[in-house]
Amino acid sequence: MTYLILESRAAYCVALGEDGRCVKCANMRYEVGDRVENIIELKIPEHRDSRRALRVVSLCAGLAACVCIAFFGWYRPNYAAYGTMRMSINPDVELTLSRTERVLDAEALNADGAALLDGMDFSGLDAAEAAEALVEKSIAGGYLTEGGQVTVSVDGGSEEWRRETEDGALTALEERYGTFAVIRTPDDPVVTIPVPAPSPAPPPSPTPVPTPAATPSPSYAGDDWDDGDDDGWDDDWDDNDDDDDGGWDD
Amino acid sequence: MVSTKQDLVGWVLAAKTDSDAADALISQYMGFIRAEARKLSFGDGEDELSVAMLAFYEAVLGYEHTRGSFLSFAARVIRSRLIDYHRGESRHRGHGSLNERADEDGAELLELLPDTRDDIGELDAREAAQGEIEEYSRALSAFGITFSDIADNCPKQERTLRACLDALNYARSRPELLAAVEKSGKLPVAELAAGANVERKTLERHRKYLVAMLIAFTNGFEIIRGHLCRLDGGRGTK
Repeated sequence: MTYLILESRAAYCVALGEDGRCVKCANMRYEVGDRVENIIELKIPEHRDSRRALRVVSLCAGLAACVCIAFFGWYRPNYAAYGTMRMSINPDVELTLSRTERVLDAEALNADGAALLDGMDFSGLDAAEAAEALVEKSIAGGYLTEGGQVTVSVDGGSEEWRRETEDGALTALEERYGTFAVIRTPDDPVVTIPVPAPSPAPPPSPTPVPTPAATPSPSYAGDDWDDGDDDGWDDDWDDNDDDDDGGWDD
Repeated sequence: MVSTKQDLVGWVLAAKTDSDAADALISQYMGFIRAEARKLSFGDGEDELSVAMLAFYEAVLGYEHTRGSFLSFAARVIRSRLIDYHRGESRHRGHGSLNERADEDGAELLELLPDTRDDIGELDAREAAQGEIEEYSRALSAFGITFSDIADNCPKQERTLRACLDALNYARSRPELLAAVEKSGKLPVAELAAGANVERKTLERHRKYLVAMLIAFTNGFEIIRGHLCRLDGGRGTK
């Protein structure tokens, strides 16, 4: 490429290329009208370091913001423990819950609870669903019979969260098992569901009182206690007599 | 030298847009430029000095208040430019120079080579070119355009340059458009955008460059037109 020098100044020249490009270049002792081939083009320096640093800082800030959003907006509400819900049937079970009421962990508080939890998977369930699953398995396992009690208590977190979680679980259980069992919180008074009484047994027919047979004179052997009353009772229940002879302990 | 830092910064900011102020600033700081160039010079250092002067001017154009002291910034730019220059020159290492001494008398190799150049012819051609360029400069100054303006306003991106050249080639085929530009110095943006299928905004951004190039295609600038042989993809300009 040949350039025609149009202007020559102290620090630079203006050169016109054959392709129409017009540039400023170093003045290597050029004169106007010269045709030159190799020029050193002017380049305005850029603040590469600061721009790169700014880019890196921007990138880091963006990543940090993403991490914060992911942690506070998604991980913490869903995967960080926020409170617990305890269910006492006879099996006693404590569920660890996230802020969004996801079940994070389940712990048995007694042997029946361990047996109940065996084989159960709470992944993806919320507190109400887990409570229903626990009650359902308790019924199937014979731990909860008709008229039994299910006590639900929620701890940890804020007051509002406790109330909402407890209400949610209680409502879900009431809707499904309200007629079968008593769903309550520890603060509720103990209420029993009236269980239909079994059909009354026929009254026993009166049995004739056996006439005491003549008994031989009492033998004092074996008598060891007598209350002193001749009331017809066998005081020591050993020979069906009460002679109250005052001498022997019948 | 300038008495205070504020004065120097003001001068630098003025030199960004005023070529005469830039020349004056460079003249004032020639000692500084020469000292910086000497740190990375070999031989007579004339080429390094030219590169250092260009770098100083680049520093003027690129300087901002946030970049600290101007002279420190200029020193860094000069140093970087000279390192780049020497890197480029190192590609030619191993090649002989025509300016090397060829014998004990001190004669350069260039002087011993048979002279095939037509110096008189070249001088005539250069003088003719100089005359035409002066005339071209006067024609442009009538519309308030300088050669520095053309260089500053010339598209830097290849695609933009290609779009502008398409518009220029379209205008060259329409003598009435060239006549209108020559008369008024105004760019017929709408006609060029429609005729060359180029975005109007592109033409408006490079208005000074396009006006200058269109004036070069009017009568009277045969040498410049002849130089622009690759403007239409190497077909030549008649």
